[in-house]
Amino acid sequence: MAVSYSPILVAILFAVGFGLVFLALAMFMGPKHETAEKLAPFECGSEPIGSPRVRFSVKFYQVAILFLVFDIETAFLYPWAVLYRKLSCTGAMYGLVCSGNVTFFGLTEMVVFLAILVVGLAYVWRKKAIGWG
Amino acid sequence: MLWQSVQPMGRVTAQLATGDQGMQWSGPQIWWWIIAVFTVGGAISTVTRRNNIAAVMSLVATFFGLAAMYAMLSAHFLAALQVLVYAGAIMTLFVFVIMVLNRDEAEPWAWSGIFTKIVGVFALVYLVTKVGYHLFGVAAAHPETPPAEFGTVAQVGEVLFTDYLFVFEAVSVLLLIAVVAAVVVARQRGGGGTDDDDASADITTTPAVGHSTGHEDHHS
Amino acid sequence: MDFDVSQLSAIGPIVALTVAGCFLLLLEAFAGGRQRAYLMPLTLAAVAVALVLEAGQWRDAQLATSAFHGLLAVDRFSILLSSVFLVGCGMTALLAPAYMKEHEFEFGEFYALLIFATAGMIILAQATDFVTIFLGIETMSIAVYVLTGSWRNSAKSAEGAMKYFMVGAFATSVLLYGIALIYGATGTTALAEIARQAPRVSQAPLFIVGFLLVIVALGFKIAAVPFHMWAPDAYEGAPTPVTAFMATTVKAAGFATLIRLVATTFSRTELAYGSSGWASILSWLAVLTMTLGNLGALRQDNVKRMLAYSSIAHAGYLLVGVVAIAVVGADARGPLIYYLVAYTFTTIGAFGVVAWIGNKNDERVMIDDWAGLASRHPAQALAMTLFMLSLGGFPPTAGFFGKFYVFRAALEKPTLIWLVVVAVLNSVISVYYYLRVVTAMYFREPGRELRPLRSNGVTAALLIAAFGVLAIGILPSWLIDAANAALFLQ
Repeated sequence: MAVSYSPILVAILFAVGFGLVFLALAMFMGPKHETAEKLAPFECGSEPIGSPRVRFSVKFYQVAILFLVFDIETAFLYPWAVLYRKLSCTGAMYGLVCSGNVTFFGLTEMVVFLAILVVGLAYVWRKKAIGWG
Repeated sequence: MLWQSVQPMGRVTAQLATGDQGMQWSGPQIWWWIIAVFTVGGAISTVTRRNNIAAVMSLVATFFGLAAMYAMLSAHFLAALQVLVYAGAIMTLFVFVIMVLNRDEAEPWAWSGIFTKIVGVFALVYLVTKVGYHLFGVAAAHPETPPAEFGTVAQVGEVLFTDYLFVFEAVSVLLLIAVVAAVVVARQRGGGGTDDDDASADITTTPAVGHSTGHEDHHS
Repeated sequence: MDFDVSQLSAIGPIVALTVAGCFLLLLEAFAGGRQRAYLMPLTLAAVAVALVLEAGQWRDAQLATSAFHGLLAVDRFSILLSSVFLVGCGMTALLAPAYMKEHEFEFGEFYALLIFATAGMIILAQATDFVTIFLGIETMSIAVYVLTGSWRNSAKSAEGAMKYFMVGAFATSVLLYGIALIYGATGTTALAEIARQAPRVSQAPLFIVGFLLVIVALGFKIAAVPFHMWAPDAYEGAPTPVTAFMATTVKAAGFATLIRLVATTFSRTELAYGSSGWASILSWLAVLTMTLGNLGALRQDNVKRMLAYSSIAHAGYLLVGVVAIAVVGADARGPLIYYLVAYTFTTIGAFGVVAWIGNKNDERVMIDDWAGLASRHPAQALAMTLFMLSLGGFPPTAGFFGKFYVFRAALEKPTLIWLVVVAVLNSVISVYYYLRVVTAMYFREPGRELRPLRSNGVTAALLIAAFGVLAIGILPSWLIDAANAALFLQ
């Protein structure tokens, strides 16, 4: 494989390991004084009444889908940033040096892409879809 | 286009095929099986959980398995996107949808529609065996290793920003439609108003309750 | 990187529509409701600009050209189909404002979504790569899902949109799976390259499964039986102008892709014939679609739902034309395009009358509501009669010549006689439910008082539709000549 994923594997092992170790430590070493008060369900100081399955506002969904759209936009920005010099160069690249002419191709394509999405941003902003008022 | 020369899918299949014949399993093959079992297990768990949230968490596991599979296929950028966009953003959306819909966890089992379900199961089994039969007949091809930079951010980007330039720009229109769709669909039903405040209302409150006071109800 | 600026002319109409859509969206967001009256005329202006650009392309398109590394083509086929979409978009925009005002769900995004959907259709008509086909279908579909469910006070609208969306998303995933398998077999998504590799891969299971999945997915989009179950509910639930848009342009866009695929990419005989060849599959789909669409329409007392089933039946007649491409070859394409144009004018007109007749909280779509219409509103009754006759295939309307040309093309080869016989029998059956509307309007006593829409836009749309039905019906030659000249990029 061209790209090694072993660091990710190590990170996963560390993450799982840390979690398990601290759980175990808390389980075996932590002090335990269970009183009725401590075992009672608690939420923001108020008594929880009724089903926990209240219907959430559709605004959560709206914010989530807007986040998703702009998240995907970011996913396009990332490779563009990596390639920006190459896209702006008409010839071959030697390291960071361009052997041909420098053009606005790379800039223009991202400006067009972003302009259309900025229309969307302006739209949701004015429609108060990203506020909570 | 750039990807035509390499078909990494064939590579893994080819390794598996030779592995089966020689009974010599290499590291990647063992990993492949671990990831495959993990992914398919997650998918089965997704469709069999009665608890919606548990199903979504199983789906997250499936997405991570898929990301690992992409990584094995040298599709590194795709693997990163799979984790970021699917396991991150789209799963958040799934959880929100479940909370907005707020269906009961366990639906009572009923005889109604059982005939359709049986027909559906048979049709599905037929389809899976038929497609599977065809696909297993595909000969492994292109066992060569892809070039080192294959599937990296730079290479995917280069194809995306040059050969597929039109698609890249047009996707922004698609995303814009999604933005408008989210605002239009989530707008309050029942109100005839055309003012801007429409967009900030939500459907969870009864029409009599104003927008500003509506939200406190959900957080208690 | 170098960029050839001249290829921008290939996407002129798409760019014009996108800019207009963004502008309308910003206007809606920033003008705070004062601009509503201008949105429809601005939409029409955008459609007019795009049509002018299409006309400019027609002049230059003696030789079909390819742009953006083979992702898009400009050929006369794409120009004709794009013009159909644009006309459909414009007529829908004419119908919409009065309808939305009467039924109290006015929202400015309607026009932006309409324009974006049309842009998606034009991408689809020009697409010569599976990636652009997928993109076009999604751009079109997502906008139309939202339009379907945009009638805020109507539970039926939400239900229809939900069904449409679920089935549509499923169809999209089937399409994507098919594209992936074809890519696996050929290593490319470009239609021209797939056609070149077809002799090598035509027996490969991967490829056959892939292209069958693509055809199934398109079957969902054109609402061919047995992939039609979403259509009656979605068509009935959607606001009537949107129904008109869905039943004509969205269906035509699906057919545009299907025609391009079977006429170029999958045109090889070994793919067309045989037990899993698309010609035999599509001919069975055609029989099922015509027959079940008609049987469904026969049972309806609801005119809107009857028209929904009627549009399914018409997809069946169109599929006869698609099968004819396999058997007869290139000569069968012109009749199909002619049929699509005739069908678009007629169906938008018919749904336009349905949109016109209703008022708030009362769509007046039951056939009893139409009783005696001729005595109170003779002009609209006459228009509806014209559209019904055209849908039923009576001369001298456009619908007659559409059926005539398509069936004649199919009759060139004796193997398709059975299919044409089924189609003609179905057309005869369909006369019953079309004429039922006409007899209700002319020979029954008026019932409850009607309070139809008063709108110049609706009148204009009905006039354009009626003019179109008569013009291409009485003088069919110029359109069929243009359609026959509509060559593909090979």
